[in-house]
Amino acid sequence: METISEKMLDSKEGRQGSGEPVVRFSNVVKRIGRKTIIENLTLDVPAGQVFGFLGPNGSGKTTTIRMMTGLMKLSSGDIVIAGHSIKQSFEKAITEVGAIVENPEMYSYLSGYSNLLQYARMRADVTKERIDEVVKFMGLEKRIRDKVSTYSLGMRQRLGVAQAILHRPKLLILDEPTNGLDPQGIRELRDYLRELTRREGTTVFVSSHLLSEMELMCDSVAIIQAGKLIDVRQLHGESDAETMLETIFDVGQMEEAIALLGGGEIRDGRLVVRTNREGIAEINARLVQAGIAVYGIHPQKRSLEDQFLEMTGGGGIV
Amino acid sequence: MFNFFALVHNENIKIHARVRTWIMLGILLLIAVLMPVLFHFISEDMGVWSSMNTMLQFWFLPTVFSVAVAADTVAGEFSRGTIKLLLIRPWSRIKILLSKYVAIVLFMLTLYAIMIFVSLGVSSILFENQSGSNDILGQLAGSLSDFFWMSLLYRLIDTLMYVTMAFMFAAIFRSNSLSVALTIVLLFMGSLITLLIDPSKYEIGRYLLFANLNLGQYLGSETGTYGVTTLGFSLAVLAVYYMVFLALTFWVFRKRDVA
Repeated sequence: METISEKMLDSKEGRQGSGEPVVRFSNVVKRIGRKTIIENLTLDVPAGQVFGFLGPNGSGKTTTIRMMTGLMKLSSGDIVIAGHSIKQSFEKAITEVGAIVENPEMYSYLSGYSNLLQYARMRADVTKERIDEVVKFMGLEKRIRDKVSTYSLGMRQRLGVAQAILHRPKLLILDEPTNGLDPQGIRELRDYLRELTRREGTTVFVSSHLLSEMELMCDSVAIIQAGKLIDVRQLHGESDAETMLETIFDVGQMEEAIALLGGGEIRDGRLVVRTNREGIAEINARLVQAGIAVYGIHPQKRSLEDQFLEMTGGGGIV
Repeated sequence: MFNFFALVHNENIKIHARVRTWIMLGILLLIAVLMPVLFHFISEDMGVWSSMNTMLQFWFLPTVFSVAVAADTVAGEFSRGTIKLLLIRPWSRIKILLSKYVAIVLFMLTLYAIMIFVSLGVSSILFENQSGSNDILGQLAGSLSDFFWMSLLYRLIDTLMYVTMAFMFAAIFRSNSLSVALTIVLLFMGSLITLLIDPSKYEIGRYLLFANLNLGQYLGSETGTYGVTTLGFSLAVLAVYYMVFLALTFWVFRKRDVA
């Protein structure tokens, strides 16, 4: 019974539960000189999610990504990717990873295609057909034979994603991937990442300081500030049901409604009540039973930004 | 190690896709063609091998060019930021750096091959005799052609040392211009340094890199320019420097964080 319902659920929860985390940070510390950049980071990234790594500029996001990709050594602790320690068996761990670290810098004097060939040659498992497929997928067919020096920032970003997914990695790491993308590009990237997790089961680890964007893109986020992990939370999880939300009821007879409910306030000519998910249904039923016309119900989801500001005390966000 | 030569191939592509490389090759080709022609007009009595021995005076061209490329293959990746995407592949840093080194040595050999074989061809067409009547160099090494091939081999060793030095500077400083400048400065200051710390006067002088470079010195005299070293001694000293340069390069490249 349980297995059936799990299968039927096309929710992230079903996939989250399956198996080991793709990335496991344990007590990761990075010190440069006397400065501690990352302080005791312990975190599991579940498989099949778009996992956001959120924090203000300078909080250690890129440093963490550099450590995950072996560009920087860990001062202590370990990062295990798909079961392989980045310290002990770097080559095995990195085989499962595709990444963009900071800006996707390519060889500007080569064509986009030659750039992809460079990375394809470094692996045994990337065929010419796969390159063509990725190029098409990223919408680069028309310009792929042109030199990268003629590309716009958005096209370079796409080429960056292309080189990262060429070998169908289990883990895709993207550092501030929306930098330089126009709204259209951001939307496409978002849809694309969703598609990637859904179709290929890829786990995406994406860093950003743009809160609103992460909210749209991610299943879960870890919030980091000044090198410390502050919080990990699911964004579209069940916890929503328990959260008390401000809900706007657009009703015909305002005073009667307030009298009936014995609470709430009027804001901008509309009734605002603080309640949870169940409460919304209950209030609606009571209003309708009392003959009050309900024209609309709008739960005011607290944005991640609000939560983030709340958590970090509003300071330190750039 | 499924295909190390794919890495070398990648590096070759990166070298040969640059316009700069083709300008270097063009200059070298021009020198290789024009110089024997010039010798033909200014010298009455010259043979093929004396022309070639004079050509070797231009050994600094392939040296400077391959030093520039050596510095760029490492430092250029850092300044462009492409090193990040290169290092996040299932290859150890040692192998990636080794592929770069192999590509540079291949490039160096290519430059020499172009210079030597083109000028040899042009010289063979222009000069009737194998050697001129008043060439004395040949007596030092059996024949003039032997003298040339030995000199060439020694020049290749010199160039390899400078290229390895530039490669090391590039890995340490990660700056293209600094690495090239340092190597070129040392290339031209070497003789000045040995002048100051004269190996014939100071014992320490004979262990200097620059006292042992230019192995051609042993073609003229068994005890070299300073009269205190031998070919075997110099080869041993150069080998030690070479190993130290490479060990330092690989150690630094492997250990340092990439920011």
